[in-house]
Amino acid sequence: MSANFKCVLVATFLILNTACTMLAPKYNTSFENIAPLREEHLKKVAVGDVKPDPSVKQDGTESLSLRAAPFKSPYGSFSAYLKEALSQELEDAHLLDPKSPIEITAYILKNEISVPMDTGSAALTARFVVSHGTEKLFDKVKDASTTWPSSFFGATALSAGQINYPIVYQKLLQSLFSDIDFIGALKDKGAHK
Amino acid sequence: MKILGAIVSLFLLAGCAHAINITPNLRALTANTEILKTPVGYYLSPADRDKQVSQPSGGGDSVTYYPYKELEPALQKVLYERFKVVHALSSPPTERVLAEGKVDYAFIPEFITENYSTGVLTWPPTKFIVKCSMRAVDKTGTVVWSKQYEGTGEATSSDWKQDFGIAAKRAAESAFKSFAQDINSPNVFILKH
Repeated sequence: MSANFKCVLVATFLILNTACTMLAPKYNTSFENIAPLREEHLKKVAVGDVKPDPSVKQDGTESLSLRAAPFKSPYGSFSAYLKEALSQELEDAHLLDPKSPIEITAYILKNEISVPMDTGSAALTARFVVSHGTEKLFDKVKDASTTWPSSFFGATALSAGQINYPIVYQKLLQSLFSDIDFIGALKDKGAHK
Repeated sequence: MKILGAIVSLFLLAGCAHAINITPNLRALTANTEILKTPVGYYLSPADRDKQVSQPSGGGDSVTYYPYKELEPALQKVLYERFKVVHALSSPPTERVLAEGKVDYAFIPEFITENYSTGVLTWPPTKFIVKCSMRAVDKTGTVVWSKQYEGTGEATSSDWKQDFGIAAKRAAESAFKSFAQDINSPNVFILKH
């Protein structure tokens, strides 16, 4: 192996393993999640605050990394990521109205991603509260997790982690939207089919 | 040191397959147009949904993705933006299937994708093309409308921290924006029947 070739390899190795900041992909609605919502007669809602739960340290839900690479939200924070996910799915279900007196707030309890050599995983837990003024209509903790095949190779493992991370948000919202108590809280009892 | 160098070079030079996701940013396909009450459906065969494509990319590596499964959300988004009722049909759209699914029209897409990379040491696509062939059949199974769309997306290394598959997403967004423009037109074929 020539000295020049060795230098190229070392330089390439360093470039490929530099801890570049990576961004999560922008969130996309899961239409499987919202199909049941579109069939119900539900009241429109506003999305209020979405933030880390006061019981956890902010770093616990906002500081993620894919191996050595910092992993950031394209919306500035992972609280904003969940707010975008919630808003986008409700908007696509035609249930979002920022002026509605009914408001959904969320508090993130856990937000994790791991890309080891064998199986990648992500987990997300949040408490969702639906309220109408001072009346609390729904208050539950929901959690979701997802796994995917990972790799020893950094480039492959990082891109797989990046691709799969939004799925845990889709699963969390699927758990929320399929909860009969959540549907009951939004039910428009005066509507006729 | 020689052994380490050999291991590193093997890892670096191995022809890895990297997964990308080609679903475009669905927010970009929001229409804000009148929603038609005409019930419609669409059909993707199970074989198409499971179809994985592997194409050569930069650096001797390849990229893999699922064109139908990953473009389905864009199809759903465009249809949901225009039609109140959208069903995923589980069988090819015959007269009986449309009657059972209670839909007046069914859309049948075909997708062809092309991937290019100018990278010598980098694998992510630098150019991607999505070709969509869309046709719609009515209750009798007659093709009442068909059209081809093509979108091209490009990316440079500065885009890759955002998303390794960003060129593909840009191509898909461009193709589906053209489809959405036609579907959201006041002269849309469905209004003429």
